[in-house]
Amino acid sequence: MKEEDDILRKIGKENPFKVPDGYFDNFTSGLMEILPEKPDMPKKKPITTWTKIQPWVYMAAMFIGAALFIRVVSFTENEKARKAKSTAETELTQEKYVQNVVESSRMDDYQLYEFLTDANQTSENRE
Amino acid sequence: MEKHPKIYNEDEVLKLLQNEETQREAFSLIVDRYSEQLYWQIRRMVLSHDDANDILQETFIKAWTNIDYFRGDAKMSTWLYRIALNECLTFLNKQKAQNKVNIDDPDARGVYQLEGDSFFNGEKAQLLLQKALKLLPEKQRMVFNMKYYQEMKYEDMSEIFGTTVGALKVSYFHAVKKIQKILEDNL
Repeated sequence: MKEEDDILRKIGKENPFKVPDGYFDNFTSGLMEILPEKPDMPKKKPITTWTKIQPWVYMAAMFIGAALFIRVVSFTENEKARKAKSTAETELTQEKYVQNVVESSRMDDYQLYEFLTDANQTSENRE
Repeated sequence: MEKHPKIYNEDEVLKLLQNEETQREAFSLIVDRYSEQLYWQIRRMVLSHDDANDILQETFIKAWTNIDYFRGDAKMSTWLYRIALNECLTFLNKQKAQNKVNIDDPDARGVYQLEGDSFFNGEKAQLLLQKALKLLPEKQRMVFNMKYYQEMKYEDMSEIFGTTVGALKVSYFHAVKKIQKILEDNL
């Protein structure tokens, strides 16, 4: 490469960096003195059948848990909806019942009012 | 006192490594074998001898602590280089964060200090080269140093960096072009 030759011509491959006297001669002994005792490596666990299937079991448990959670949530929502519907139906039934009673007794509004107030006075007299 | 060179045989060393009783002795042979070449790779990145010494020690301590994880599927040199270069990158990033240095500033800490560094023996051209190198992204600088100074094969570099040979060749080509341009403009 022309450019590389150019650099070679101008700079060469001379090493401009120096090291203290005896640096490399003493490096190994110096390093071995400070080298720590090798920590105990964790014992390798034997690979059993359980070890192999463990991740799949955990994954299956996770999906089952998620499915159950969704089921519980949707059941709770259904229950709420059912109760709300039942309350509405009850209220409707009560209203219809009263209406039927009033209509069958052929009371007009004023008679109904008297009836109700008489009933009220009766309970007050008792007290 | 003359140091008797120990003949390094990687296969034998790896066997010694597997035995708890000879593991430490085997590791000292590894340190003997690779400390100097790792040092220069680190030194060219961090520039200061003290910093390079610290990083080199940290590299070998990490290697020792994790020696049981070395399976022998890669070469020992590859494994050590990876640790050393990661330690360099960690150090340089920390230095940047602490000094809030602009990496594009050629007078960034480290290069500027070379001028007064007793362990730097370079003339103007060398100093200019170091400034030019500091402008390169760190990995590109590593590639340049390994290829230009150590004449490392691209295949070996590819194992260390986990990058393709083609990408490394491109990286080196661009590094050379950038440096050549800076030298041309300033010398």
